[in-house]
Amino acid sequence: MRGFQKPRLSRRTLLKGVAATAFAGGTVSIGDLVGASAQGAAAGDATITWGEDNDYATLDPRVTQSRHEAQAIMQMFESLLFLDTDGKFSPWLAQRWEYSKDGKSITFVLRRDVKFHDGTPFNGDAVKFTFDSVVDPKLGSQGAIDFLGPYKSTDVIDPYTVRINWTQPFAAALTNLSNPWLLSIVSPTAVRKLGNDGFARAPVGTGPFKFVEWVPRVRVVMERNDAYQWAPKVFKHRGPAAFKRHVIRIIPDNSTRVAALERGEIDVCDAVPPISVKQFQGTQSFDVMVGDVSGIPLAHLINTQAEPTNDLRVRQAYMYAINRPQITQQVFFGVAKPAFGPITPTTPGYWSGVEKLFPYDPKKAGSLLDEAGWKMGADGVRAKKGKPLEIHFITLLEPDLEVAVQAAVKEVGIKLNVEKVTKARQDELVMNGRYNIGEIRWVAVDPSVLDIPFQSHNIPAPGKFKFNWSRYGSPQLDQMLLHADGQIDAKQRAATLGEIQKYVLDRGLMFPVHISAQPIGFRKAVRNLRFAQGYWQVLFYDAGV
Amino acid sequence: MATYLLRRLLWTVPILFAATTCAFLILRLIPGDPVNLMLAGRPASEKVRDNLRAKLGLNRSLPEQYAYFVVRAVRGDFGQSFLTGQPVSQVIGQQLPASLQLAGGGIILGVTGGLVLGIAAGLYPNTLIDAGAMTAALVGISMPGYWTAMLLIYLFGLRLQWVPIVGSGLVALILPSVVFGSYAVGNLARLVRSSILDVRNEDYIRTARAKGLPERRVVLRHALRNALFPVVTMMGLLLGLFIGGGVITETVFARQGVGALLVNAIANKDYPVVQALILLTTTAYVFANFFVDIVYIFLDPRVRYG
Repeated sequence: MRGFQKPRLSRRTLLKGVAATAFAGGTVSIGDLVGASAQGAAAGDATITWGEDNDYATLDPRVTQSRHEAQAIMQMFESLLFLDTDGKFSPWLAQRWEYSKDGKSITFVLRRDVKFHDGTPFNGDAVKFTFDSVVDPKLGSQGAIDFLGPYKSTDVIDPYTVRINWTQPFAAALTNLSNPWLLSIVSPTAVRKLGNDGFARAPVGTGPFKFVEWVPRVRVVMERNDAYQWAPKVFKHRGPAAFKRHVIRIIPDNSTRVAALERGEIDVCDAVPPISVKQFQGTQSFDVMVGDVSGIPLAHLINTQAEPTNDLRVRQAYMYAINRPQITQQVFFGVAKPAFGPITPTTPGYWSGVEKLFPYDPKKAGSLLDEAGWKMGADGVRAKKGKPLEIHFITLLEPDLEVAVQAAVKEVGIKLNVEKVTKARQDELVMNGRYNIGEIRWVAVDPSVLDIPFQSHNIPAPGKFKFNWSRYGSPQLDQMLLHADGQIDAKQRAATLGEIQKYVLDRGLMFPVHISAQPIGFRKAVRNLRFAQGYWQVLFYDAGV
Repeated sequence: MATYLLRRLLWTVPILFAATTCAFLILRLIPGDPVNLMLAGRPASEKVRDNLRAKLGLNRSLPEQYAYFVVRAVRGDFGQSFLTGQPVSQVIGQQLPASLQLAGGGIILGVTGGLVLGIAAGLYPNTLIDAGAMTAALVGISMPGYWTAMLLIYLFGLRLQWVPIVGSGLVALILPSVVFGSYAVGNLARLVRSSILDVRNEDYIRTARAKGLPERRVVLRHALRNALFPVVTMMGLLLGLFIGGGVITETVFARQGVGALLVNAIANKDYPVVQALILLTTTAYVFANFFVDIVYIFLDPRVRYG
């Protein structure tokens, strides 16, 4: 009789083997992700990981136009002065600054103890190099070049004193120069050695974190700058950062990113969807901080050149027919606040008078439409001379919100045809004027952002993609905007800005809907996260576990 | 037959040429300006836009752009990405390994799963096993990858914590491979099942049964070999699909890969990257089908070409 021979590879052995491999593989990969955070022997060795919702194309502050790339850039680069979320300026790479008498130049006295990550000393030459290269067409700057305004030149008066000159007074000068992701200072040595394209992939700045590696579409890794001693006074921390490694993990899908936070694979989560905010707030291990973004809120721009919105009464009726506090609460679960003006309350120059204009008043909307000849039909849609009151709405940013708006304006007899478009289609329709209403929102810290939707030279045309989608061109409005842009005196500027805000709302050019919210989810173990100016990006210098 | 195969091989050149030319033309004909899309609609001044157009060579005429493209492509130089300025070959080279890994994982799981389910259903038709296998196949074909991915992440990543969600390494490849291979599993299972059922009634099968062989041996040894023909054809198709079709899986699992790269490049009208990727995908399809034809030669002694 043949004895029972144990098969060489029994099922049990196989299962054990598979389990062992999976376990080993699993611990290795989870291990090197979560790293030493929270469990790190010295908290100083910890890694803090940010989950980013958008991919990167460049890490050069002189080239970028993306508020997502900004998140990485502002940890590694610094500007001449620091603008906090409370609107106050303080010294950063420059110790003090002074306007010239004609308002066309500012002289900066620079710190002497600053070094770039590659050891190059920071001085006036680096400042001049940075700004001159921004305006050089060969660089292909997409954001900084416009931010520098009517830039003329930079004079290096002595190694630690520079004077920046503009062709005319530029009111946004200090605000823009404080921007740490557009007008921050780059290492001339590194740019000369690597070339512009190389520098974009291996950036060198003066910030609290220095660049280590960038795996495209996966992660950016930064490490503490051990030589860092020049943090702005607003930060609690002094000297090098309290943790070692800062990783940015790119996770475009919202639910995956949120799941990664819950699992602990990231420590801080960018752009938490409103519906998930509640699941993290008030829990033991997590919290959410919500930024009310500065600049232009999510707003509707109404085409004054296309029927039926070419009639002021129709535009105003539209604005009276929508209950902003209610819709915002419904669509965003209370995470975003309603907006009433073309710039948000956290933007300098905000005129609170906008909150009294266009309160929800469906009766008034109805009477305006009656006055304009649009009589209510039996099917609930108004009509004039047999033609129904149809408004063509193109949405790219927030289709859910616009569907709620569609339901709201139906109550007063407006048929809102909401078309969900791709960026390419939106551009085509906008340039050719084939729309009634479109969406806009803009993250900005300076009220000169109002030029974007309201300057007459920004009216789109075929081949020319600009943002004056109300297509309203008035020399009076242009004058007011130019005046505000050149007005160095804050009080006078605020007065002009107030007039502009009233002007555009009265004429039904723009209907503000809600302030953009930037909910940041994080593990409670991570302390001292801080919003950068504008309330979109987060600064990690103060942070620790 | 050698001449036939050689002719097939030579045909690949005009096919690839035609595909990339089509891509070149279509990209430039659909509305949307790459410079504008790259600037993400920022209110960049005319100065900025013109600078960018010149930098990308878009201010040249269409025939000129085409000439530049062809001359460089023949040398293997596909230009630089509009978005990042990196050489296109480098951009694709960085993303390709992850796609191949995912394709490999998807094919292994897909083929294994498809064969197992299909054979089980073929062996025991019209039983609970058959019904179960075919339902699983239907689910694999019909469920959107996005939904399957979310469910799997929730169950195995969050609740059970058996695998990482956005990790690296072999373990992190499991869930994406399941999602990626689910379409193949479904298709193959149904195909294998019907092939086996078709073949079961053939004369040579009856002979095998008459010889007294157990049913399982009949199916696995004799029927399966012949049932594999349509399967091999389908695998050729799936192989091509695998290279470019991973965008949803790659996006949801935050993985590198040419699928998401392609979709992103199209949306941003990153012409050089799109053209190179279409060339890559076409090459994959052409050679996959060529490979299938060769496999047939070994599988079926009756096959003679030319």
